[in-house]
Amino acid sequence: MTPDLLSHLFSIASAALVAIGLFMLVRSHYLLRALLGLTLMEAGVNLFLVSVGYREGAAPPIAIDGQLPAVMVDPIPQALILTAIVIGVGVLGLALALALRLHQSEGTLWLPRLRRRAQSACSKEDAA
Amino acid sequence: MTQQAILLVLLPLIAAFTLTPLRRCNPVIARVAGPAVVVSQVMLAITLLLHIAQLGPEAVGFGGFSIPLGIAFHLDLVGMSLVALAGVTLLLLWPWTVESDSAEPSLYLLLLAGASGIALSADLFNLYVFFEVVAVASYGLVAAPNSGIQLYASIRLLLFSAAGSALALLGIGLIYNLGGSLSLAHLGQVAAQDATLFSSVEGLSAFTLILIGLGVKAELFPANHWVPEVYGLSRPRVSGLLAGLVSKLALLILLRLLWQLYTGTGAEVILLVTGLVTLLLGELAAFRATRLREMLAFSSIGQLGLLAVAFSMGNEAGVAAGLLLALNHLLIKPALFLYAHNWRAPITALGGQAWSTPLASALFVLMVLSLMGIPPLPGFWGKYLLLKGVLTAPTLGMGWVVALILFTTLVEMIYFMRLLTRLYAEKSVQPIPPLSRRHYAPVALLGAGLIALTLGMGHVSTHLEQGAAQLLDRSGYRDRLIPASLRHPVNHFQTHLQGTARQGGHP
Repeated sequence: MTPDLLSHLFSIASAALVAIGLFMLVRSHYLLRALLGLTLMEAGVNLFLVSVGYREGAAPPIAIDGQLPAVMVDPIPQALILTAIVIGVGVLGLALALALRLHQSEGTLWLPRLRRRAQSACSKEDAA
Repeated sequence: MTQQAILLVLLPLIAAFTLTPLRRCNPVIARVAGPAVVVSQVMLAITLLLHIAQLGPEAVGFGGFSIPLGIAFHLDLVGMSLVALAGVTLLLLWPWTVESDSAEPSLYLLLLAGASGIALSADLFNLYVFFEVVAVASYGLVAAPNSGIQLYASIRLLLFSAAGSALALLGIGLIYNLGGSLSLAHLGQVAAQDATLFSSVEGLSAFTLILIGLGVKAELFPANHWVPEVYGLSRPRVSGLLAGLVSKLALLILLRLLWQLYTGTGAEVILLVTGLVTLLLGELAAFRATRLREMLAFSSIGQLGLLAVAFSMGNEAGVAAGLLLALNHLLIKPALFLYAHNWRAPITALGGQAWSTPLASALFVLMVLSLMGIPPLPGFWGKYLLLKGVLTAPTLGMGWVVALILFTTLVEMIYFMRLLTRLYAEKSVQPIPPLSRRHYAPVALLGAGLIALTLGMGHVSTHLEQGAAQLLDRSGYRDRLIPASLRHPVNHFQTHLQGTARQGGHP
């Protein structure tokens, strides 16, 4: 496989992951499915960032005994991905914690039902 | 002196995380510590602001790395004023009355740290990270009362915002792939040397992705569906913070990106069209709104659309107009959301409410008039400057933009006048006080700020023009952030760039 095709393959795969994730996020009625979609999107973005730094036949950007490898992959996108993964995990953890609380207080994670309750809560508050 | 700018991020960040253990040891000190940190932050920001106003903008490198290595901040008038204003706004809307075990003060400080980082950072990735800090703080603030409905609002905001961030990160990846750097100054240099680089399909799609991603928080079309729902469900001061402060932060990132990298690439047109669509849809939706809170949420969307239009003009008048409108909106929207907390009945049921509290209602009228753009209030000068900017914009005359702005202003006037005449109709049987006791002080202070801005318009406008000139000054920005030895056509940076370009990834 030529390096050009390989890099295209990475781009196409990551675009597909982002698109599938976004579709799930927008169309899902169940909160946990929407969160899965979000995770897929983030995975797609991270895959794309990895492919940006890729070089054919290059070594990992690690200095061994103070010697840098002659040809190495670009380390900057890897640093970005590390940060992005940490942020993604943090946000997902927060979202799951919110979902847990939501389930405890409302007894459901079905988004249309939650939306109806929110709307009726709004108008009830107004009447009071 | 300017090295202290790092404290603007560190101080609130450290305080945010030490507040929780401190609360366990000594709740009284913990209660005072939060506001004290914000006050010292505002004082430091004002000191630095005066320093910059005297000596011009400055770039600062941190951690013993000299520029361009390591992390750099770029201190300019607009960024530093935004830090000071963020502190003041948070202080005005501070959660004084929450229970002592609430996490809200910590979240306020986290928001402040993120806001300072966004206002001062000079590279794309730090902007992304600080934007996430602000986003997480705002999810927390919406969810803080922990009742089911607010948790739902928080989740809605999180889903939109996290998806937006992922798209924005994808855009940043594309820009890195094209330009081989994350520093706005370096990318600007690359763009100056190769004008076609960012006007390619890849370059413009990167801008569009970032626009959609940040547009979630900037309430821009097509990612603003969450706005009416979340503003309707969350508490008034949180809605005020999101509409007043957080949206401006997202716009500032877009503004910097547009004028450092994307001048003359057609990205201005993308921002202009997005702004116009947002403006039109927001004002028309506000026209149909039946409750004050809903009306304010949609009017906020419209105002941010107007800001996007102003910032896409690319001349000093347009950007200065945008800054003035942003300041106007920042002062007014939080106060109006506080009013809407008590006046939450349908607008048709608010007949004659204004007579019960003449003074508070008069202030409400003043704010609404400024939002509409009635002279001599700041909103009028903002719109006047904007029209001037549109008519002198480098691209064609753009008569249709002027027509659209005037039309939406007319729509805005109709729905706000309808509200005001309703409020001043015959005396009501059951008066509702417009403000809760604890909301009086922030509304009065925001109103005083608005009156001060009106009186000091001449003085403020010169500063706004200076700020706008600094934002549009690309070569100055680059000179400060790239040392002279690296500025020549052939340099290490260039060879590095060629290296990354050769490695491929784009056809």
